[in-house]
Amino acid sequence: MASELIQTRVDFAALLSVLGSNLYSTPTVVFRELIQNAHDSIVRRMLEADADFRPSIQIASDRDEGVLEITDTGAGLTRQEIIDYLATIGGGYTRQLRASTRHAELIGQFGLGFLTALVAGERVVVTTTSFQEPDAGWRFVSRGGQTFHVDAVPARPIGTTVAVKLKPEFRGLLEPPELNRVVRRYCSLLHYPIHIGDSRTPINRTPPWRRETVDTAELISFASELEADNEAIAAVPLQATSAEDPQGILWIQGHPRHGDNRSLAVYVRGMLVAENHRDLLPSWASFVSGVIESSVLTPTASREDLVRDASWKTTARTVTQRLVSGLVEIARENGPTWRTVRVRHNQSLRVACVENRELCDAIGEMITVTTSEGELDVASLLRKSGGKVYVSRAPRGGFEEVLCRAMRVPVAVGTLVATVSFLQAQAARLGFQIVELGTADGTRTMFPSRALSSDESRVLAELATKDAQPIPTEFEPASLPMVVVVDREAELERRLAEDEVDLRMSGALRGLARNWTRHLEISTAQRYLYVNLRSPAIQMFLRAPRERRGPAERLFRLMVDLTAGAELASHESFAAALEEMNDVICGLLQPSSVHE
Amino acid sequence: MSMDSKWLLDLVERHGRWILEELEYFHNAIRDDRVDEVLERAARLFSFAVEHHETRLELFVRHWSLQMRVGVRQEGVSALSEAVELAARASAVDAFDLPESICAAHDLCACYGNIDSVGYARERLAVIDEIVDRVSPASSCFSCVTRARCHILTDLDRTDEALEYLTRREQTVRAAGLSATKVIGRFTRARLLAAAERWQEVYAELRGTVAERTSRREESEFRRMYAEALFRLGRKDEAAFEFPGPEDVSPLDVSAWATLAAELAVAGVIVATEAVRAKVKSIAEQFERHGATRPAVDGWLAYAEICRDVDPPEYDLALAKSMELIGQLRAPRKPLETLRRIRLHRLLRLST
Repeated sequence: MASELIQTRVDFAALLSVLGSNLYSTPTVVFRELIQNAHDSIVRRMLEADADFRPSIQIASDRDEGVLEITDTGAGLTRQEIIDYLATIGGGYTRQLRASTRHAELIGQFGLGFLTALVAGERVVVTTTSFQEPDAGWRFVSRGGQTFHVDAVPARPIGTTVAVKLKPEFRGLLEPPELNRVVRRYCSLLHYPIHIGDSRTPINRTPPWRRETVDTAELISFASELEADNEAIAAVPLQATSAEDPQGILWIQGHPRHGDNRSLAVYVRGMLVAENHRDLLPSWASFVSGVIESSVLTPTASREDLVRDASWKTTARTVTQRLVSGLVEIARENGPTWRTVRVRHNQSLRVACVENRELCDAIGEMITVTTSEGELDVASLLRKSGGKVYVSRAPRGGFEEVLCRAMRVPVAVGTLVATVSFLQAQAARLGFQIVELGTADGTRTMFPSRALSSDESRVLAELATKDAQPIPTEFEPASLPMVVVVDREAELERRLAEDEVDLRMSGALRGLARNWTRHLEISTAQRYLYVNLRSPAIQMFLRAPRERRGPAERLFRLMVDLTAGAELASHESFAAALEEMNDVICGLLQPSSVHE
Repeated sequence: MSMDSKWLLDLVERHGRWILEELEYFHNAIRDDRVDEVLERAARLFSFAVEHHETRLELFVRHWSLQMRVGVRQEGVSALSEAVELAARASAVDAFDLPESICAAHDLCACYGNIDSVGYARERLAVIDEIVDRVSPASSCFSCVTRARCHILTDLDRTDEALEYLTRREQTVRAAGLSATKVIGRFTRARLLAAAERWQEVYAELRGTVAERTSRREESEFRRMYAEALFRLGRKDEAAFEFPGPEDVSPLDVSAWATLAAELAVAGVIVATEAVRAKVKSIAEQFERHGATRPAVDGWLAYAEICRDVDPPEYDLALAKSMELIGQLRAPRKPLETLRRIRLHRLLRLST
């Protein structure tokens, strides 16, 4: 059978219901859409009509009747335009006008705005007189949106009045505080005066970024008004260098909070489209809020979100670049403010440095990490630790960390956010070494192996225990003869083998896990015994005749047990070691020993 | 990934609503494959969990991070230490009864699956069999465990058994009043049928899901599998049309994509453009870097095949890489066969 071309049909009632129920998330958008239509009508009259006029949008409400009325002094509509644009969903004139004039102030583009009136209203009445036919007036009346009447009425001043009798569930919007709040929120940045009720003062305001010169204090004040629950402590203006660039301000929140606190209100050509479109900010900017205005971002059909097109990506890039350069400017030129920003958001700035190379290069040196010696920047860290940075990721430090603390060498706390990755980024940039305590590599770096003569090696071997082989090395302080370092990888293997874990870990899972630990190239030793060749006691021990080494060997062994740390030393072995130490000291102090 | 509302509500009560937003962020980021971003943020939440002794949150975040590394980025040896640590941590007294202990076991299996799926298939199956009865159809672990068991059976060349098992699991889901497609996923059966080389059935299975694809990940995998089915059925033009380009392939499907890209290129179905070759090479390099040995071998073999007649130096490099990595596999039979086939083709071509 030959294929047949069949026209797709639309169930208008169902479509209207679907659009009405699902296109917008809140009925408040009826204000925004109708005011936007009024605004675009004024722009049209400016572009197409010859005579001067006073642009104005007037919003009135009758709470008793449930009627919202929006009157503009725009272009008005002819009878044919009512049919073509007002009564045809998706058939707006603004899109054509924008295509032909490229006028930056035109907002609408889908021809869907008037739909909100049909959706939110029981009855919609539009009375209008077009600048093209100033002697003719028309009235459009629709109930339920599916049909409408258009009648000739006496001419009115050029412009349009839309009166919507709201459905009962939406009439709360007409309460003056709510009406004021909603209209100001959506429309206060529009260019033409908007009046509510009898007020002679328009609600419009000029945001600081539209002014010739911008004062920082003014920016911060504007930001603080928008973010009442978290004061702004610094602001970064976004100034447009081309028509495509976003304008606005970004600001640093006053109080650090957990989680993603990015917040960005987006205005498109003066109309609020998204109250919090945080994705335009970089993911690391969890301490930043902002408001931007753009003429190139494209709202979705509901105008509650933005289309992620090429302009969106360019805007996101511009916002990131400006935020980075703004932060750098504050850091370089505004010491007191920068100190506040850094103190309050140091952790977030560390994350930012990890994720943004440019920022890392510019401010990385001012960011601190938490160490055993307090908060230190990288330069101080390097200075105090002899050109290397020591970091520990273990929840409890091993003896090597205790040693560092004793020597006042700072150890960075690697379990804190972005510490290791931040230090790695700085190390790559500045070329220093990171020594990670508790890893085989870190331990080897801290305690480099030294060669001994065969005789000395034999003597040293006397200090071996069943789980620790002595390794000759050199470290400070020379007065410390040896340290014991737990092999944490072997420790994991040991934990896996422990009854406590074994009993809970299923057989197959344990097998698979141990399959890994078996492949680690580790000795059977669970502790490394690093013997300090700089220690006078060790030097004498290595040279002493066998018969004189006995008490020293016992003391050294006790030192091993006592310094192994609570993780390995059981209560019993610790107590036994203390008792034995007492025995040895008493033995050394006996008169016969002294006289020998 | 399992999450219950009471736990969440308790968390919010203790620490505030930001936790919910954070969890929502992770949920979305995982779906969108934003690996690096998630890992950095997960580290922040992990610190918070440890600091506040929130054991379940700690396991949950570590599991997320592993999901990103092992599940999305398909890391192998590079993630093994963390996978073992997590499995050990999840076996501790305060963690063993938490649902995330199942996830931790599954993560370790998945990590070994990335290293050498066939080589470690028996051990992985043993682990899955130990945990499979701990999850009900209402748990989100049900789908992971079911799919894992099916794919392990396939690795063991027990594909018919895998298909029967899948049917039984689908029946269990339906008996619980749930949708089998939603719980187990859309393409599990198609993947198993493809492993069994039952291409007509793969084609029929996929045709029925055309309207159901929702994510980029699904779109990419669907088109790659659909293209393969069409190719095997001799419908080359349609296969070429469906096969996703290098910029469209999802990170989760890169291994199978690279192998098929090479085969389609050699068969003249698609053109091995510079972009396609570069993508295949980058896939092999990425797997190698992460210690995902078997997919790295597959990637280098695909790259060898795709360069065989057009770029001799790169062909030699790919072959050398393949041979080096094959030596690390526990079960090298199939890759060795592929290697021999590629070399034979090359020799035959040189001799003519």
